[in-house]
Amino acid sequence: MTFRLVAAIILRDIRLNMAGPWEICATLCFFILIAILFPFAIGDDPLLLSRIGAGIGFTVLILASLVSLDHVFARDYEDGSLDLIAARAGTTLLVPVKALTHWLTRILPLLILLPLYGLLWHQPRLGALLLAVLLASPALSLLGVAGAALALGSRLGALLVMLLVMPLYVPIVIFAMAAQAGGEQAGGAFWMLVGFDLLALGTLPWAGRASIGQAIRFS
Amino acid sequence: MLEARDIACQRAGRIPFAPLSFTLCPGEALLVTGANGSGKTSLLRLLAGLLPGEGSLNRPEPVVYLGHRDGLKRELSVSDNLSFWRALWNDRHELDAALALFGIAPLKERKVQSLSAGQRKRVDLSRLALCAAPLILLDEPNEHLDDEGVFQLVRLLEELRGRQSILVVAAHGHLPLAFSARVALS
Repeated sequence: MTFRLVAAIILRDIRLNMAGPWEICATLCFFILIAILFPFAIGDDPLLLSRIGAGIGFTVLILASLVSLDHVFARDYEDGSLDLIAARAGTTLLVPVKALTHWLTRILPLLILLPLYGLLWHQPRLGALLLAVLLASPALSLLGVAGAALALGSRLGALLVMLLVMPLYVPIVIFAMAAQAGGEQAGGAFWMLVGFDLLALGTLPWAGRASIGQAIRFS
Repeated sequence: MLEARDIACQRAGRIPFAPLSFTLCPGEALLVTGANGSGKTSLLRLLAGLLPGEGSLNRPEPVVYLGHRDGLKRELSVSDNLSFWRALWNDRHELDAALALFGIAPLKERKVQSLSAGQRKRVDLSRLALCAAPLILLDEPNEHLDDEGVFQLVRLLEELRGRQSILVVAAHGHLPLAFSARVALS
């Protein structure tokens, strides 16, 4: 897969997202609505909000990023683009390429909203939270996209992707929260997040290739 | 050269066709015929490397495979779709020249979702002019085409043969191309 092709896949997918921007809007609205809904349920005590805000914000961000994750490969699979790409260039780099597109179109808009969330939820360590989410997000995207590849061709679609991926998010959530909390362990937790990113990048493309190949065989 | 010796594959637990053997030299064309479900698409997908199979297969690389599903993005314009194809093939040919081959240059900026099935097929086939591959696999390329479209397709296929590409074409209806060999699947 050449650099030109990688760039072409990313640009095409961004254009497709822009052609139907309601999916990005739905992701952002989901995040905003949940962030607003919580204080109505638990009360607006600033001390309470500042104590639990980071965990809730990160969890909601993860849930929002899962919206329409099953579409990452499904559309290419249904319209035959996946066959064209596989016959020409193989599928090894598809998981990282699609993960980058997912990060740009789903995670990045949420990251941009995060400072506003931090202000609303009285977050004292907003910079650390942003850095923790930024470092955790590549692994989240890679795991999500690999899960979407595994669920390709399944009738359960989005639900299966969530069931496959969410248990794997647990260690990332633990270390991201440890990193943003500060203290002695924060430095190590940040490095662990970088380690998760590298581990995901080193292993998931191969798992994704096997999953996509299997789906193509049964199409 | 494309050399197949006793190739076969499994599809949904059944073997769609008996083991096949054939050899095609550069510039030759093979017509694959057969009733619905006889395994024409499976054979093409096997030759494209999209299906695992048995037997021995030596094929030139890279391979162009245009199947039933065209891979065109409905939300994007014709030129956006063809630009993606050019990137896939690292091709530098002019889009206008490829579109003119099928008389669809005026459709360049139209979204694919606004095109008829026949126009979409012409866009699909115009991609053949935007890649240089020694092996070209076409699954029912004349589907949805009118007489003029079939004539333009045959003219392009003859040109590709002249450039020493090997063609394997699965077709139902009549395709007025001088094929070097025929395989009838049953």
